[in-house]
Amino acid sequence: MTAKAARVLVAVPAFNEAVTIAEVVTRVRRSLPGFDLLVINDGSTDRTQEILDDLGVETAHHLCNLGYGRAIQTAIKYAAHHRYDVLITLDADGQHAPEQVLALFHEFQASGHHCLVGSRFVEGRDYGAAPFDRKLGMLLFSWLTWIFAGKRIYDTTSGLKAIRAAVFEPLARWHFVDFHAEAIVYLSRLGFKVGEFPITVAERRAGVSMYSPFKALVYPLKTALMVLLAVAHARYSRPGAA
Amino acid sequence: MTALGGVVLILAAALVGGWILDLIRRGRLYVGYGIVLLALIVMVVGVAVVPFARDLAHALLDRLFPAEPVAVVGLAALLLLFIYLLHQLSVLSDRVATLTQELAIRRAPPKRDGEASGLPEDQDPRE
Repeated sequence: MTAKAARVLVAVPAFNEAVTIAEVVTRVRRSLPGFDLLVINDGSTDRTQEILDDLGVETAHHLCNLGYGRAIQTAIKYAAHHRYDVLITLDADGQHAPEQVLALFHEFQASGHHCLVGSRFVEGRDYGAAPFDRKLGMLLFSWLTWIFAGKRIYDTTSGLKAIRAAVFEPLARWHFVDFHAEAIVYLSRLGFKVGEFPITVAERRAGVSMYSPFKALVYPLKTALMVLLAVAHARYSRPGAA
Repeated sequence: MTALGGVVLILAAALVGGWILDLIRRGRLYVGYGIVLLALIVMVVGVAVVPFARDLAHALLDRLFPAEPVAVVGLAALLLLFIYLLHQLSVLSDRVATLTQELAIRRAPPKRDGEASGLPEDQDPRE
């Protein structure tokens, strides 16, 4: 049987990740030799771009910092523009092991999901030793997906996702906060299949989390509101809707 | 505030709240601004309809800023202007972001057409 080649793009959004980006790129290249790699440099002000140039990595460079959600959207637009079949997003802080991506990819291809989320919590079905505020937020988002997507997604904030070309257009068309719970609900309401695949993540070694104390307060409100609006917007966006 | 005044305020708040939600849904108002505006509206309505909060606000505002009732119209106009400005700012910000993304995509080295860079669907590269 002649296998049809699936063109796969691994996209790594990076903002001031000079400490970890070289290792992440090296590990992706070593673990995923058949996949293309794109780093979205989201207006880094440290040596990230210089390192990427030295490594000869294909880079989409934002002239200013647009935020994580926009960086993911750039990756989706790039993948759509270059007609990739699958987009895999991966964090640049070194928390995701590129070595696990292959297992996720094979499950993705076999299961026919339109979006498969690499999940830290789907296996244990609890949030373990996560700090209380994080645990609360993750529970809220998980319940929101349960209520509005009809399926509980345990790790909505995971940056490791495999996305099929069929959903590039709806994801590039609407605006999302960070492509987390609101994107999962939106895709599910449009009738696309979203699932989770168990992964493990390492501790962050450098850089700062994108959730500062202020953001940690506002982010759940923004995401919860966007989840509700995603439900409404999906009604307008369905094929054949007015 | 009269009972009729309360009803008018709630209706106006619902109308403006609906407008804000629709702007956010259509990507014409940044969701962060929307949260602030909605919180402001909920707070104002809350103060206006809860008798204790209303009396307290009355006492404080009357002492600090004794104003004509018609000032409410001015405040309402300011709120609408504020929403409109944030809406325009969001539109502008969205356009800048889209331009930045397009520029980033176009400046990234192009892929060679027809290049089979991916894996066969049933083949593991480690094999």
